[in-house]
Amino acid sequence: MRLADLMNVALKAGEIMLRSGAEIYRVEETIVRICESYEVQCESFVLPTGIFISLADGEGGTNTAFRRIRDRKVDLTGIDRVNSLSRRIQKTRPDFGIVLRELKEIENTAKHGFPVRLTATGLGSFAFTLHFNGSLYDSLAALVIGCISYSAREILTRKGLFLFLENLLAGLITGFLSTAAVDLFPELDGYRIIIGSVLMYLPGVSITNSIKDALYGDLVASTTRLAEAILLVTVLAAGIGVALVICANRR
Amino acid sequence: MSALLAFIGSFATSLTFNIKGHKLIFAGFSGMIGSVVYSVVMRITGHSNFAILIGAIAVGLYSETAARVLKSPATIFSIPGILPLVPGIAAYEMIRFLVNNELISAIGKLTETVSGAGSIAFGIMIVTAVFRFLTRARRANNEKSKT
Repeated sequence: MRLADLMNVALKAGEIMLRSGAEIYRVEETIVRICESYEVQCESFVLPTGIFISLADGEGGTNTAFRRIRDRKVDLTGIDRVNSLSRRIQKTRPDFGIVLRELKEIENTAKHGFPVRLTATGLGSFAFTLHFNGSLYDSLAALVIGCISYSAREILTRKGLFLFLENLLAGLITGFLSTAAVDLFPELDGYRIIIGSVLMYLPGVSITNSIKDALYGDLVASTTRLAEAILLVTVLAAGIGVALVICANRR
Repeated sequence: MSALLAFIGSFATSLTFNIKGHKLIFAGFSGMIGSVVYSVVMRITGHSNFAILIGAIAVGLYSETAARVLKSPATIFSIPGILPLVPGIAAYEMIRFLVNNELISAIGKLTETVSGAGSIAFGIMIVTAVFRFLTRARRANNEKSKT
């Protein structure tokens, strides 16, 4: 069944892109591009939490399918690869089986492992603290604190608790640890350590996507993503604030 | 020196966003360009929001160009690139005022933080809009020349 196969391929491609944090217009364009390469008329409607595809069967009827997207994980390489795959489909029109196998391969490709991401977080916290005029000792403290809070965040992520709680925990840990660090070494500047080690948790993808979605007229996605970003930042700040107030009142 | 730090910072962030291979280097350069442009404009005008805006425009221009050269989505380069521009020092002073219960000063710093973030958004927005307009115009031209 040709149409069903095409539907399957288009849904899978859209699913991978949306899961990895692509913009709405990019997902919609990719789905339409894939379908039109096989000369099937197609409409797609994508929300941040689901994909709707409608294909014309050539006899006046339409086939419609939709897929719900529940979890999301930022993976910019995945977006990039599906994007170039769809352009290749447009040029060479490979068999559905081949496309589906390649999509599965993209989905299952190993992401950067935890040690790499942990090192990156430490390095980033170090560099950003120095960037915001912290001293060398501030940056070293930020490196350690960034690594600890990232590990704690990773544990929560693996347990599958929701996103907002992870950021709250990261904020709390950063707040407590940096106060402890200042207690141990009074010459440190606690706030600079906090800013440096928390910058990596800012929802850059949500904010950038929200701007782009707004420009392309996807107002629903734009407002939900903006709300998501504001919530994430607020929760992070709340975590830090609570930790700092508790520490300030302990004597 | 600050440029190098911005490069390392953006590079590290792109690792956590699962960018791979040579594109990591380009993502790092994006942060470096933004922060260099920011500090130059900051030195000339002394106006931090304006400097952030110009820095974000530079990041946007760089990422759209890199996207066309490397045939990848522009967001790969713009997301890590804007992070060094985030008004971290204003946010830092805001938290400090809030914890010390100096609410009026905290509002001032909050305004500075939010307008800084808005400048970043606006800068990226302008560049995306212009590039989108150009691609559309070119596509329309191509179709006209075909027929």
